[in-house]
Amino acid sequence: MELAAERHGDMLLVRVAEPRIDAAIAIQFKEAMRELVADGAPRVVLDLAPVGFLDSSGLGAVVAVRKSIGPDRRLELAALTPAVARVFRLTRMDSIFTIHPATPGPEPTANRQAAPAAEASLPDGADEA
Amino acid sequence: MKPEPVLAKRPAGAPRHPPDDPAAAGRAGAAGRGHGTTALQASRAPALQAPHCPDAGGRVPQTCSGTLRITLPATETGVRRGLAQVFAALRQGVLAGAVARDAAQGQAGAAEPVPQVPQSACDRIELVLAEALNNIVEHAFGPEPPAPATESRGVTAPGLIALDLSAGAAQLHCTIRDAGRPMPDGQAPAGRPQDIDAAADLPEGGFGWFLIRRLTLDLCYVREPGCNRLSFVIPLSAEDPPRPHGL
Repeated sequence: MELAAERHGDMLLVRVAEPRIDAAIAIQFKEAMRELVADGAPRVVLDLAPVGFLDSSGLGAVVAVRKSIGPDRRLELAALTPAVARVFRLTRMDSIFTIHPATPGPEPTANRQAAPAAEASLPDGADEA
Repeated sequence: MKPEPVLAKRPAGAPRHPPDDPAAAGRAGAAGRGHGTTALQASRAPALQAPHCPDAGGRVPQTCSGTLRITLPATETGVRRGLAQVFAALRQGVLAGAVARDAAQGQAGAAEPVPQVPQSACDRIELVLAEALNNIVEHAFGPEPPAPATESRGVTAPGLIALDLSAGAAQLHCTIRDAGRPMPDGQAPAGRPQDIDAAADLPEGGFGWFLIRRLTLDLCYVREPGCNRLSFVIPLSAEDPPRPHGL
């Protein structure tokens, strides 16, 4: 489970370096996230740019992390790929999370390539017309 | 070493994933992203033939062109590898025969169009199959799936899942069989939308069957003697199926 966390002021930016968050890895993801968010940052941003696939287990894990950090802290999502955005849209979880088109804050150099692609693919809404 | 999923017949030149490289599944699944379409082009690779269809009473089906059969161990990593094989086969045009044939109907004399499956349809296939297969891993075979058994001829052995795909011009027909426990009440779950209005008590599960039903047509579950059989159709359109009433 590859997660990289950077603290920028109030924000903990967690970059997921996995191509998939699925049933095979959801529990590990949840546990790794719980350790990372234990630093108490009021705002946690999960950068999902490299994640090309997320299933219902992955979605459940993200929801579990949100619940575990409590109501006084925020879990936000960033740079969703189209396949991941669709799962959030179909389950209406896109109404629960703040979703940023691209990774906020200081742009990590390694993410320069991923951000524009994610931006172009953001919530299209067309599928749901 | 865990056995990798068995492809009924691998086309010449088809790459094999290293048996114990979990990253291979992810790479294979990610490959092809970023393009508007995935090539289901009419390659001249030999069409896969299902050598034996136990659900057809042991008869060898008359028409196997454009079909793909994969048998995978009922484990989460088995599902990953199985999906990687599905997409490797799709990219190699394994199902293209049926797609091209159907697409050409009504266009006699016209050059065969090159079938293109939109990336969003590929994503839909991957999501639906992952949900259906992982449900079997979790619920039909329990939290600790039995060690994958060897496949006996024509029978889905315990701990194995058989996945049959056949492509038409606009749809992918899927049949999944396993010898695990039957679904509760002999029915596939209704997959109702989760109530997410109570922010303090968000559901962490129960999305799988909602997604399966939302993205498929003609879903049918039958408990056959000792065997679950789930079939459905995945549209290959860019847009998702219309939202059913009440969903």
